[in-house]
Amino acid sequence: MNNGKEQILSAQLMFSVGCFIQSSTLLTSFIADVAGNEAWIAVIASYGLSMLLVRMYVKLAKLYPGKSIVQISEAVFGPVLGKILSCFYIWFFFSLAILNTSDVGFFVNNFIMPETPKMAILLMFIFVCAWAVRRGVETIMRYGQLFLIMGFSVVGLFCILLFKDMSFDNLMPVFAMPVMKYVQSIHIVTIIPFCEILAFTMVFPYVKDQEKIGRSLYIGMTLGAIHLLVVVLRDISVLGPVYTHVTAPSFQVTRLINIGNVITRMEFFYEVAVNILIFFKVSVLLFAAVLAVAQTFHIKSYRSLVIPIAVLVICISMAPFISAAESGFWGSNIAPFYSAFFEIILPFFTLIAALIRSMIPEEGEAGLK
Amino acid sequence: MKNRFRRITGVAVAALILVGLTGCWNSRELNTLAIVMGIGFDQANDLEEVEITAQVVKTKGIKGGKNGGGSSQEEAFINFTEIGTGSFDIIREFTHVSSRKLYFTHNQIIVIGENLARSGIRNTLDMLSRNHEARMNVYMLVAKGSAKDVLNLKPELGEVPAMEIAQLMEAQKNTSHTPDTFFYEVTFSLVSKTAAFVIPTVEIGDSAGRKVLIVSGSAVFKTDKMVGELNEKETRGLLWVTDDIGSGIIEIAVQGVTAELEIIRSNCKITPEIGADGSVKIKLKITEESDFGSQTGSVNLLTMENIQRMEEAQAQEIRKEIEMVLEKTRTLNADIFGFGEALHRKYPHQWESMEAEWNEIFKALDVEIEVETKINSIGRIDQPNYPSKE
Amino acid sequence: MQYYESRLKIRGVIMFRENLKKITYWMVKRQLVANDEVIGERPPVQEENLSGNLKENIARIREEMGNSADLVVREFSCGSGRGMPVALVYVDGMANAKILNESAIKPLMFGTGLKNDACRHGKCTLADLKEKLLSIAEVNTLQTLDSLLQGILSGDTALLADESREALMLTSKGFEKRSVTEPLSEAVIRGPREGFTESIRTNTSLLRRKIKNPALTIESMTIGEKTRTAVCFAYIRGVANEELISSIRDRLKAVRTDAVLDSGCLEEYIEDAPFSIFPTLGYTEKPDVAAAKILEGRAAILVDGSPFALTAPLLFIEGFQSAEDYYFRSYYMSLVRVLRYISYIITIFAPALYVAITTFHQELLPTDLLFTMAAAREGIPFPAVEEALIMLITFEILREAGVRLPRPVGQALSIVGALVIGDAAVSAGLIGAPMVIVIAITAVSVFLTPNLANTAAILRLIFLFLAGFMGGYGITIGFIGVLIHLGSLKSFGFPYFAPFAPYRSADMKDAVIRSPLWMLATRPEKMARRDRKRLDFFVPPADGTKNEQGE
Repeated sequence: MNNGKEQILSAQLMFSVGCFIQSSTLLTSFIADVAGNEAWIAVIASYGLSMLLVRMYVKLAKLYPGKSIVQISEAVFGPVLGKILSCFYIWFFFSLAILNTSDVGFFVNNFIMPETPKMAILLMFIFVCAWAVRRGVETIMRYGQLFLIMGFSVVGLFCILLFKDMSFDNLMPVFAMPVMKYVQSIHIVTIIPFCEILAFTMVFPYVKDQEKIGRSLYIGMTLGAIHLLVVVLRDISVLGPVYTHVTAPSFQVTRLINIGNVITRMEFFYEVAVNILIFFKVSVLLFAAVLAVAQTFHIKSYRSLVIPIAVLVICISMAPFISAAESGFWGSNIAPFYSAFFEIILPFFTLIAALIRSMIPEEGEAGLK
Repeated sequence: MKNRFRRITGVAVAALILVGLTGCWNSRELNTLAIVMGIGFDQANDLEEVEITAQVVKTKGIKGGKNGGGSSQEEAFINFTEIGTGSFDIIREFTHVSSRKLYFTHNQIIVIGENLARSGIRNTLDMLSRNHEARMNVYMLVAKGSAKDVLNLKPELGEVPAMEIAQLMEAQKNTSHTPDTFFYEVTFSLVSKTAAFVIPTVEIGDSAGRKVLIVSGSAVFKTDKMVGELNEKETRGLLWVTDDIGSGIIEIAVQGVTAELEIIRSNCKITPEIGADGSVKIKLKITEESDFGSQTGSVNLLTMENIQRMEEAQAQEIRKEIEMVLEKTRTLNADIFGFGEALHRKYPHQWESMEAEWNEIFKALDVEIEVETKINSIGRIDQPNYPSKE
Repeated sequence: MQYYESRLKIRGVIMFRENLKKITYWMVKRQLVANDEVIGERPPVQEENLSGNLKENIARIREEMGNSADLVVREFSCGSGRGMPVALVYVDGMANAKILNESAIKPLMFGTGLKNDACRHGKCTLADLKEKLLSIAEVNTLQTLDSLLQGILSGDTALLADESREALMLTSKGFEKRSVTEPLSEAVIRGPREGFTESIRTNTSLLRRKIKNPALTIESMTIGEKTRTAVCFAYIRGVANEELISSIRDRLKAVRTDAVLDSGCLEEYIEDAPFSIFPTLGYTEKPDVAAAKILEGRAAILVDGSPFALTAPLLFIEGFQSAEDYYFRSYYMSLVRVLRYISYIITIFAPALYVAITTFHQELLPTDLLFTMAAAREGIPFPAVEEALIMLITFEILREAGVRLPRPVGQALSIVGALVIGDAAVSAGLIGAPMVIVIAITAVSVFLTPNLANTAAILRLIFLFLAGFMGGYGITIGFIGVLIHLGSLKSFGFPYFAPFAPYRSADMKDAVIRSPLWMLATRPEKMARRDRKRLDFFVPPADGTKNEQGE
């Protein structure tokens, strides 16, 4: 029985983080365009880099237990500057929610139902996300476990079914590209799937065991990274040279499954899985945005803010870009820098300021000695 | 409370109306679809134009359920033909003659006429790569003659020619004289700079006075134009190298008698090597297992020495087939084996300089073939049906 | 113009005030309910005491009962001689006259054991009578008219004496009740065949026989202004969660209604989510099921007059568990349980999936199947959604009709209805044959999970509409919506979708499969906080096929 305040167990946080990263399997087309057949190297390398970056968030959480990043920036920088930083975070989560929703709209519109107007698709999607957020963060985090297992089983199933189509030779030429491409692809993979975990820093106040936050984040990230690696490897080994050409490699790969003419046309499972996973991601992002607004402006309950923000998300995600080409360009070239500002630079400065703050009385004491 | 009741009623009414909205957007009832089973591309008289033939199933003619009883006289398919310049445009033009919109997701085969194949297929196939209805694991065939005739031929065993051809393709695994090429494999090769590919050929032939479709041999494509053909043995030689052998029969002669061996499985390893002087050598290592099928003559071939002789003869036969196809492709200058790709994988840096001159390098390529064979099971009898010599 | 303007303004102001009032009222109510506050106790009943005059008391009783024809007043003298005037008041048909004759009237009239003097002078008191004369098992002393009437109407007999401000209530319940038979709604192949009856005392006795433990506590109360139904709930002290019990108690006390005729009526007043389509209170007609739930830490609520006991809390997975699961061996029963999940999925999604695939996503069908379906759809006048809707409605009609009709006719109708109507509809070209099969499978597979059958019917319709509207995408969104609803639903404070949503690995042993009983070593988490272990550690039963050396 809860006492009015919702509580999340550390296991739920761990699985939710993994599920969040799983939802990025649609976005592999960005990496594919840049890294080509060597995307898997980029995934492994950026996993290592992200572990270091996530340490930042964990350290912040340890310095200010039970506070979300918005509250931390207010505590560290004072009311005025803190509020300005919080507004940045609000905008960041909001924009991520918009981008992901438009991704879903693009996917459903292009592959499943071409003639349906985007408004209908997005309306239903956001309705369900807003409803989940209104029900509380506990509800969303509970399903992280279930969806993670579902994601793994779907990917595992497809790997088994596609085994005869995989040719590992396609992975082979390694380190044959110019170095800048590697740097760029590692940058993309670090920022887009992995460091968007910043949204979970908004969830920290609700976690029951504050000491286990670090462990949950790391293990969750590892699970998500494994999934991403398996997906990328599978796609490259099946599609080979066409990997860079297709718009949604994971989806095209599932269309190739054909075992004995009986097990065929399995993309239904993939479509359902993608819908569910991105629903999870957008719910978390929406929750982060709504909670950030509530905490910045000291509103008691975030429930009443859900509907206005959801409506705004629908309106803007109808057409965030002028064309699909611009969306691709954004993903490969601009998004890494844009997101890096919010995900890396801001928390970094917050951390430095927090460390300085915590050291100032110590300096006084050390001076006494 | 009254307001809430009104709200719920409003929602219920809206839901009921939704039922009537079943004509909305993407929904199409099954009886408004023209299910396309096969597409044929031909070159029209005017070189710029393409003639597309779409084979549509008439569901009333398919024997299934209750409707099949009396309509066995009706044909189960109908072919629509249109001529035009752009593929997508031509397919939409079909709506002028077909009452239902064509539906491509169940398409089984793509047949390309010989003339069109010789002048390049890349542009015609672009639409099929992009359209989300077209699937990538569709069989591709080159018709000797025109694709329209191939698609028009009424099948003997089945009901729809396209399905018949698809099943024919699946049956080719038993002789391995034809590759089965899927659309996505063709796309792979179209994308790479040096690879060439083969597509099986189909022709209308005569058998006991009836016209039947014969699928055997393959057509060689370089970049996207057809440059030559391979006969059955040459095609099998290719399949030895690309590891696509299903099953098949090898005929050998040992000790004055002929024997037939059934191929069970085979594996080929391609190892490229670049020598110190920059010369390129390809090593092929083939391991194969087979079963003893039949023999003529009275000499018992199932003795230890004879089995060894048979294995050597088998290896010789395989080597011969591969050398046949190597020679043919050298004259055609088409790297259908994927040697270029193998070099690229192993020596990525040297490949960058070799890529531009691959045509010349390929002509003078030194290929070393090593074959290892094994004969496994021997059947139910271990001596030929001759009276035993005392 | 100004006139209209001002009227509009007034209307607007009034509307605004009304809505404001509504909003405030709604918010305050939600606040109260959210804090689990009790919405006030029932106002106390009138406490009218009995007067010392016998005649007056009897007149008042007759008046309160409206001079009902079945109220019997037997006046006589207690003891020989003049004796003390006493009166027995009871309701004909409710009280057992034999007990009265033998154990109340006879000893009182022929007064053995009491000195004749005492009674002659009217000096014996009711207490004396109770202690020395009345050979009845349970005798209570009352002072108020109201409790006296309550007792009479429950079947007891009131003994009034002159010059006494008290009355004695003698238990003599003897109304007709159904005997303990096999429950009609839950048929089992193996397991006890006793079922609850309408009498609450019989039901509690059935429970007690299953759990012969003094820790089994049964608390009772009266609910219903007009019906004054006896309700009691049972739990095991020390195993059940304290908060759960106090929550049930508070909710039952807060029920203010006229009539409680069946446990289903009570259910709607104490359930957690009245607007949810999923039930949050379970019901059962079998005492062994109720006992099993009590042993897990839940509580069972018995209502007088209803053979269905409510169990609180109810989790989603309980819809898939049945009593028989535990009486057969685990291997086959695990299979059956998985089958139940599959059948529930079929019954909810089958019509929707059929409509979605044949209308929106024809690419998902294998080619041969596509031909068959396309051939079957030729000439059908309705779009797929309406076809499915018509068939669903027809099946619901047949189902209801089969239940309501008298038994010999009912059987014939369901069989005839299903076969003939379905076949005739296909021949007439109104419905396609695949649709009939899909709906038939849907209708049949819902019966594996009877507790959730009503929910399934509604969910089926929702998914059907969504599928007709947006195809597979609509179904996915609907599925997510249902998951959200399930995930946030609470039954008496326990998460409804456990052990799936707050993933409890220890409880998964009994969720999808049924592990052998010696593996179920712990009770469901959170329900039995203090006493979680059923067994110390799980020990597989000794394998009788191995001899001493383990060979």
